[in-house]
Amino acid sequence: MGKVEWKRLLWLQQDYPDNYTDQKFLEKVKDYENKKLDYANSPYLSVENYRVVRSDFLNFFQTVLNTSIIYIIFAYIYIYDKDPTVVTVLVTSVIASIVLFKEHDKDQLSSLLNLKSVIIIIFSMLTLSPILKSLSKTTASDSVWTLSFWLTLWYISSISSSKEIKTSNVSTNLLVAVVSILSSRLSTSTHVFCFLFLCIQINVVLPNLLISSTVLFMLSNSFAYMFITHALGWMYTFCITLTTLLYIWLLPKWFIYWQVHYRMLDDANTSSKEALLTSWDAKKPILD
Amino acid sequence: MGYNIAMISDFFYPQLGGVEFHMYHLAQELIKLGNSVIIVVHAYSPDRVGVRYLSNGLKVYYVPYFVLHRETTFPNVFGTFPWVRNILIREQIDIVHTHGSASTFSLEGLLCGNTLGLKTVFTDHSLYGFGNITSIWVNKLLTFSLTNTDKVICVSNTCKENMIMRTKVDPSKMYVIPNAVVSADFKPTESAQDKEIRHEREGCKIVTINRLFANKGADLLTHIIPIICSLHSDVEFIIAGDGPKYVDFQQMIEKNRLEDKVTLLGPVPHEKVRDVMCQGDIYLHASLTEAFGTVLVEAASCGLLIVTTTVGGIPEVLPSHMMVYADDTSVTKLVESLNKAIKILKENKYNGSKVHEEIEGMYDWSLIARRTMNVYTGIFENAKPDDKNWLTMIKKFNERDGIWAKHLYMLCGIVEYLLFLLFEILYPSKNIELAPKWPSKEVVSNRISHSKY
Repeated sequence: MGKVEWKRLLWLQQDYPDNYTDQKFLEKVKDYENKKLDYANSPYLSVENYRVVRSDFLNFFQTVLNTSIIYIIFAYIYIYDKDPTVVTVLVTSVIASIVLFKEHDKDQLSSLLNLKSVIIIIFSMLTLSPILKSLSKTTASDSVWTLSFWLTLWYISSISSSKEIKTSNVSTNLLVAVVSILSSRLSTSTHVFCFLFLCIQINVVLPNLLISSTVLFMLSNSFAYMFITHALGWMYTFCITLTTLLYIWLLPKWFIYWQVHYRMLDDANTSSKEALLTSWDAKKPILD
Repeated sequence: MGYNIAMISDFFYPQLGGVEFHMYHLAQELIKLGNSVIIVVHAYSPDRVGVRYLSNGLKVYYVPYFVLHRETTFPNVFGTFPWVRNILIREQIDIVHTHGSASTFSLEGLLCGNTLGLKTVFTDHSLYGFGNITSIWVNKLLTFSLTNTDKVICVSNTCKENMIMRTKVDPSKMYVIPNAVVSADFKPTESAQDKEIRHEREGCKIVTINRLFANKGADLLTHIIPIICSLHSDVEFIIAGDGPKYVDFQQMIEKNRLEDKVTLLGPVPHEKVRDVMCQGDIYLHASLTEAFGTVLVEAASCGLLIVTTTVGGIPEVLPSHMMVYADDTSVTKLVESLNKAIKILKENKYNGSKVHEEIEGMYDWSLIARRTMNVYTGIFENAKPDDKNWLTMIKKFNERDGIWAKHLYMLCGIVEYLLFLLFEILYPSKNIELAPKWPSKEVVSNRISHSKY
């Protein structure tokens, strides 16, 4: 042989062509590609993981459902021309009683019963109602529907991503934006106030009050399906129920299949000591 | 004699940086070897627009285009085709050589060059991970663009291996050709006055020149500096560079009352970098990711002892006697290495001016240009007649991984070919006026015929 071994150095003029590849690296790649994975005993197949995945899917479903209630209330006032005052009083008293009778620890109670700010918010909503009513009065209805559609999509995406971090109030602002856009189609300031008040109670106060509660889930579901049946007929209810069931049962399974067959390969190659795929990532600074 | 080469990227003068200098110096040396080189970039309005000539007839086309973020243009697959096609035909280009994987111009340039049946080369200057949405997106785009590219050049072995994993291109098509420095611009202090200044001091000065970003190790630096200052009363720091972490450095100085020990220079123009480096004795590099690290070669060339982390391609760049390595990216290890370096300097064991001569022989743009020329000639030698056949190229797209991705690749390819046909009808290539070439000097061609390489 006599040939000097290749060194991984750029400053050295070596007797190898510029397209020479480090043989050690090629072996590493071969190991990476031939890695045997035990799919049958994947950690992603555990009951625990299934529970986590399904609850994530359900949470998102719940978010969409709560959002749809905005439109149900709006249709109740706008299309069916009903007076929302009775419903508002009813919902408010139910929520108030939940606040009062649910068991809280002391800090939570004090923050929930921050009466002063509740009163301020209610009064400012009362003051704002006539303004909201006339705010987009001159805009065509079609523009209002389109705008509210896109704002709703934005609202759903913001709420699903900010579930963990409660510091951001982007979603609340977007909710108010959707409501104020729709408000201009209503006939009186009282209707606008009731609409705004109901939406905030159902979408902001209630989900924070009853986190992942089965009762709330059943209630909002049956409420939404009742409305769909009433407004669109049985056929639609059937189709929507089917889609929902597919979403709740099939998608989590598919997601777990994806975790087992794709993510495991990544995990196996990131956790091991001679991890290949992460070796080019920026290193973490150790500030000891 | 010589090739007509088009270098395409999003990054060029008036912006300054690794890719920009690489393109400029490489182009200049290629011109000296008898080639004709043009550069195509997006316009830097309001000043740099239209067509410009730089030294030795290096022609630069500043194409008007919508700039999205940090001088990168809006990513889409076909947007630059009309302009680039026109320029490539006009300049009778043989080889399209593009730079930088985060650059839209670069990737579209490859597609356009392949569609026109030209030889294509791509140089990458950076490392990418696999775990976030940006890198997945860039990697997919790059896989598409490199499928039919003839040769790929990477600046270090680490960079090449990264590239193999990112794009699954045949390793034998990938070349490792490093960056270089103009060592004449990075000489150690020579003048009598400078020497005097250095001898007057008893302690030593530590320099760091970097953009002050988190991935350049700004957080490590703000932790290390107070520790070193408390350990050594005669050590001073000079920090040059700007970035989002600048405020952290100001706060660190105020909090530890280091106003007379640490100098914050802010942004320093590239021509002044050497002067800043020459004020110091040690160069501190705490970067968390690095494909090559040109700044290390520059600092070593100025005669500084280098203290650095061992991330990315750094261990390949310089011989170990010029460097003091920190084993990991921790404050403890970097402080240890700095202490070691200070000790070496105080015992007068480091000869900076000798290092300058060594580097002169290691990194030289004319050598880099010759190696690049070998890559170019290799393309013509290894070329198969149907390499740039449209059907062959579509077949190669079909051989790629990913059921969705490969169909999208094929679709994009076909749309590009249709675009080509459309432009042949609307603006036939025979109607495009050919640009006269800048006459090359006879002296130069003589020198090449005598060269043994």
